Amino acid sequence: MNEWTTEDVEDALCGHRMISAQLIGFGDIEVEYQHVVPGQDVRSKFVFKRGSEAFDTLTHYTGELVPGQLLDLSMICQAAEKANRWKGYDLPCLQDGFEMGFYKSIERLENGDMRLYRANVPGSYTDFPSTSEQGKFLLEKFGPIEPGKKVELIS
Amino acid sequence: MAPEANENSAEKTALEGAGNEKHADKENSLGDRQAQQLWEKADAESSKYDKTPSQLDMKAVSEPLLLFDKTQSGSHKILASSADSKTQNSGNRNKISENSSSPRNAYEKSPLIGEEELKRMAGNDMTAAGYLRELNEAKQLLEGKALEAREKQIWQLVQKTYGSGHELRTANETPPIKEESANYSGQSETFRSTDKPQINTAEIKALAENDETARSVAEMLDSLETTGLQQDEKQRLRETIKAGFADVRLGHNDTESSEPDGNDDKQNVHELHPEKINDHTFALGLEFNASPADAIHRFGQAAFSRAAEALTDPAQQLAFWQAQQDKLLGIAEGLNQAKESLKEVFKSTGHFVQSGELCEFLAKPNAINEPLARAAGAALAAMEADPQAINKAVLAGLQSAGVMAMTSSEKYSAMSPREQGRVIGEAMFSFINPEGSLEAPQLLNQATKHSDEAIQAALQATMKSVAAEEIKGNLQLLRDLATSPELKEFFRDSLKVQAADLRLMPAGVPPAMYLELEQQLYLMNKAGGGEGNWWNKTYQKFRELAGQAEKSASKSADDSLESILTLNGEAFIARAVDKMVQPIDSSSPAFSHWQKMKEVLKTIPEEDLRTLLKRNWEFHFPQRLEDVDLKLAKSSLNLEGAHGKRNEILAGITKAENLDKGGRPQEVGKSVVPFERWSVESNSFIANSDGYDLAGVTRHEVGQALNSIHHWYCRPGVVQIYRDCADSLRQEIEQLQELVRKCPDSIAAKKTLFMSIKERQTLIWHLEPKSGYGIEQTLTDLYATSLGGCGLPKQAQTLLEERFAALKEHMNKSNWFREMGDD
Repeated sequence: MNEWTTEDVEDALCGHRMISAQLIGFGDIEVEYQHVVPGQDVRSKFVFKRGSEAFDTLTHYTGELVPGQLLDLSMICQAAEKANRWKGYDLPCLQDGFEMGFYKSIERLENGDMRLYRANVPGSYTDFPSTSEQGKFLLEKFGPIEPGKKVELIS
Repeated sequence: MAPEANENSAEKTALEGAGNEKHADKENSLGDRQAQQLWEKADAESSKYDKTPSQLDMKAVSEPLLLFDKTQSGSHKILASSADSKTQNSGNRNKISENSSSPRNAYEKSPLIGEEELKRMAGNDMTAAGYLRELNEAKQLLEGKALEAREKQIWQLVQKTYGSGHELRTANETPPIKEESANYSGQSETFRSTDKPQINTAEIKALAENDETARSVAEMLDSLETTGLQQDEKQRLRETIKAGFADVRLGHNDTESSEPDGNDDKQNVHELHPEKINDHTFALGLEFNASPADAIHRFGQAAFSRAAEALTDPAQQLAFWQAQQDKLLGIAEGLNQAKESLKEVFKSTGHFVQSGELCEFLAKPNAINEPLARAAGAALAAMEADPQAINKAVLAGLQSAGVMAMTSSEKYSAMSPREQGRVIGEAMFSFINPEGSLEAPQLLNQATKHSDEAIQAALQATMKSVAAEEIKGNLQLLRDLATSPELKEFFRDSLKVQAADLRLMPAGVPPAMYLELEQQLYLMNKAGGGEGNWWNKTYQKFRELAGQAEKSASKSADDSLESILTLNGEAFIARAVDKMVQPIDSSSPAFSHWQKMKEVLKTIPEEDLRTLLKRNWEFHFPQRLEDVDLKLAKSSLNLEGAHGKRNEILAGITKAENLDKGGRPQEVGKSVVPFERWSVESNSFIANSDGYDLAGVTRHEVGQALNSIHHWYCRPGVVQIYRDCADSLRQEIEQLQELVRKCPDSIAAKKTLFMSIKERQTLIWHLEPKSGYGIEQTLTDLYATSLGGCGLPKQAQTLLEERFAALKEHMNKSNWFREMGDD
């Protein structure tokens, strides 16, 4: 069995495949994990050893776990998914979106991140960190936008 | 269900039989009498149908074929055959066109019936209406002497049906063939079945210059000389062939010989008495001693001999051998299919089988073959003409049967050797297992009951029966059957095999009983693939003789691929599927599953199959995934983070083709839908169909395969729209959670939130963000759903289509499920 990496843990969280977590002996974390098997509910339990990469990644999202308490990870998964949602949009995808008129507007947030509003779903948006490749691409594409300013792309 | 693009060195486990062969008994054989019967039947059919596919009037299937009446005793008397009349007509055109007189005038002089009377009768009589319609059609389609000939044919039938049963001839009609004229004794002549028309070999050869039927018969006669049959047997067959040809040329037909008017041709009637085997089964008293395995053994031997002797080019030899091997497997499958069909008939008609009517029919085995089956078709066709008696569903079914029959001719010629073998196998079954013809009497009786239920049952049987009969009637098949060394070997008593590999062949085959057919098929197919058996060793020896290795094999395979790609429509689909689906042993528990999934593949659009065939895509429907690719089965799910679960828990899996840096394929892609999958819960293999619609899973894997070629997700906007759809659900949940947080007392908000979360759970693998897995699953499931289902529960499919409607629309708008991606 492969060692869990940070990427594995984040993928599992973003995919809502981490069901629950619990501290067990020696401070390790036992996680109930749902496999991605279409049509089947196949679950396994994995133990992340204290000090391992997986342990640190998970606790980064969950905080310190309370001994003996079973933590429902659904909200953690949702937060992780939301925080990493922008990763699903690579540059060609974004470029396609602009060319096909999928975006209604773009907003520079106060923290400098870029918020891209969709044209087809009112109020629906995705945030891109300013330091990310996508964020830089957007800044380059539209030029400097003042924090708090919004640019309409479709009139 | 996910493609595994990076499995570079997965070991492919050859589908070889693991068991030891049980050697078949060669001691039993067909008795002389049965062999003669079957020869006569095959030869008579051969000459009767000996026309090119275009000449065969397949339309006749959907029209009244035989008109029958029920006698007081409950048996069915066949009065006339429009199908036969068409056959006759075709055969008689040349002959009749030589006559200048109008045969129609002759019949109009008849006191029995004229055109006006026929018109009057047509108002109340479907048969008369049918004749009238044929007359009108002839007038529209034909002219001159051809019209005269056709009209004469029809009027002959009219007189036979409504008159005294006698045919009239004009005084100045001179039959073109001497022997025929000897059978007519005056101005008015009755065709009697005892008046067997004759024709000699020289005349047949003379006719062969301008007549394809005659040419075929002449060829058959010539080929007879080269067989190893005894002289007296050759003579008997020679006479049978000539008599059959004369029957057709001179207007003699099966219908007449089956008329119970005391003038039956006793020479052709082989009275057999039904024997009750058990409560539901009757045998005809025929003791067929040759087993299917015997036939197949000889088939293989004959094929081997021909290949070795006739072909000098090693590549040709190899290709020929492969084709024969495929054909052999097809025959085994066909036999098995026929047996299964028979079983179904027994199951579905148990009540009928016990009735006395069946015994009556079984007592007339001579009538059981074509005439009754066609009579049943005629009954249904007659019902089709009566809108009061039949519903639309039956009409639709009949039309389908007609279409099936019309295309059967083209189908056979376009079939792969394996498919052709299958058809031959089914035909063989009717020879070796007369009980198989139960279908004919049972559907005939049911058809006459006119109840919806009976009609439906009869229809289903007819669909099979009509197709089978028409396929039998197909020229090419009959040639294959009647002139092939395989069939001759099949009917021959001697089972001695003179080949050097005799010692390697099975030592014995148990007595043939169709209930043991599965075991026989096991032996046969084992012979086709297992190691250490005679077939395999023979094959190896052949290869040694041919001096060929894999290079030739791949060359012949390429040629074969090209030839398939030149086909279109159903012909292409059948052969493409045959090519792509990898064989399994017929004794495997997965064999039925394999057959079903093959049929599913045939429903995939031709364009998509063409794409896959060009890439040499492989489809496997094995018992377990490990049977195909052990490494793939035992490795973890290819998805990162899957951690510890093997692929054998998947209902299906597609492994993308592996290309080298130059884009050249190193390993072909393959899709596998096993019969069993591993259950984590029970820690054992369970039926894969438990929880899955495997037809849908197969469609899903086709989608996976196409996606790996077309790269659907690379098309503009696809990822974006997919993410929009997926994020829409996620954001909906977030907004609902916010609403619930703000309004904790809102039951509606809580309920909606609960439902949305449930939807997310249902679509969890479609929302999977990692490595494009989610979009891949979504696209392939949308593709599969558009073809009938993706294997998931209906609720999940509906939800998928709702939540990703924009994506589906986007794909369909640009036909991107079909068109190639840029890369």
